[in-house]
Amino acid sequence: MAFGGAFCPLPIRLGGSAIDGLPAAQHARLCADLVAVSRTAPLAVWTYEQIFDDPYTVTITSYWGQNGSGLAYAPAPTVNGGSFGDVSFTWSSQVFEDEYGVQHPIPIRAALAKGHTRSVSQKDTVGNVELIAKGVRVYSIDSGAGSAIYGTMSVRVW
Amino acid sequence: MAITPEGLPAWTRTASHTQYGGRLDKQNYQNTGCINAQTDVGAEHLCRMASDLAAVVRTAPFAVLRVLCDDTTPGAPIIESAYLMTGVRVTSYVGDSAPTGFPSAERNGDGDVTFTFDSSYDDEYGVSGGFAIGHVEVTAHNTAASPAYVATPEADGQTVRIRVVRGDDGSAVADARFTLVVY
Repeated sequence: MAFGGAFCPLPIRLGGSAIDGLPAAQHARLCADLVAVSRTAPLAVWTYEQIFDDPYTVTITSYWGQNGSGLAYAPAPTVNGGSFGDVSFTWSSQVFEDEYGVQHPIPIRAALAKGHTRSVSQKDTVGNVELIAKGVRVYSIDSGAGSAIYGTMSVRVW
Repeated sequence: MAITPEGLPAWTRTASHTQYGGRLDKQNYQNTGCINAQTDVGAEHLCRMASDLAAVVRTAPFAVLRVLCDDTTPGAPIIESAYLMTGVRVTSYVGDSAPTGFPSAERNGDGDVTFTFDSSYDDEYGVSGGFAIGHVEVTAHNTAASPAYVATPEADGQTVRIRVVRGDDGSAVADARFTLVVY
């Protein structure tokens, strides 16, 4: 990468020493592995809490997405069925934009949802998912009773 | 002359920042840093990129599959979408007719299927990396708030078995759909 003298402008020239250069073999490994992880990296992951009482408010407590980290980038929750345990999360746009303004649609094709347990004696909270337009619907269910359950869930989508 | 990348592919989980050009004593040529941020890339930038890439390579999933069991026919499950470190397929395929490089799948019973992955995969440069399932996560899909569909994995080497049952009575869920993540 050493171009000579006191500057190393783009485009980078591969080669040079391991101390102040970037050999082609290392650049190739970087490219191959970056593509590999890009294929399977989640589109977004978030955790939310839903309260027991009417209006069963849903609060997203943490959001990390390929569109950005922080609640400003999170999908909007909608309480379904007038109770807890059934929440839809949708983005207003089906497009994510990178730092350079390049946009691309984000069709969600897979999702995981896992419940957090509030106490040892509480039965497992099972998360079930349904892929919907511009987002995902999450059902939090008491696995044994089959009834809806409130509380905390973590969701990941691809 | 074709280049051979340094190190092994991402799914071997052996990534080190050094194979991406990082070094603890990395330095800019003649110790002169970036002069123009619009055109220069410094050693410090490269090392951050190398370190962060090694970090995400360690935890990235190997495969993310959305699967629909076919218990009505009955037949092998349908892999509706498949994101693998080695390639992506967004058109469905039947598990017993898996395209090259994608996992096969067979039906054991209602809501009960087994996936088989290869013991090694090649990266874009033909470098082979061994693969064995390390971790598995699965979530059942549903269209109602009740009953709960519980999906559980059983992994061993190159295979993972998924069973989807109703949480309330343990009965199998026919034609179950689920998301499977394999590490």
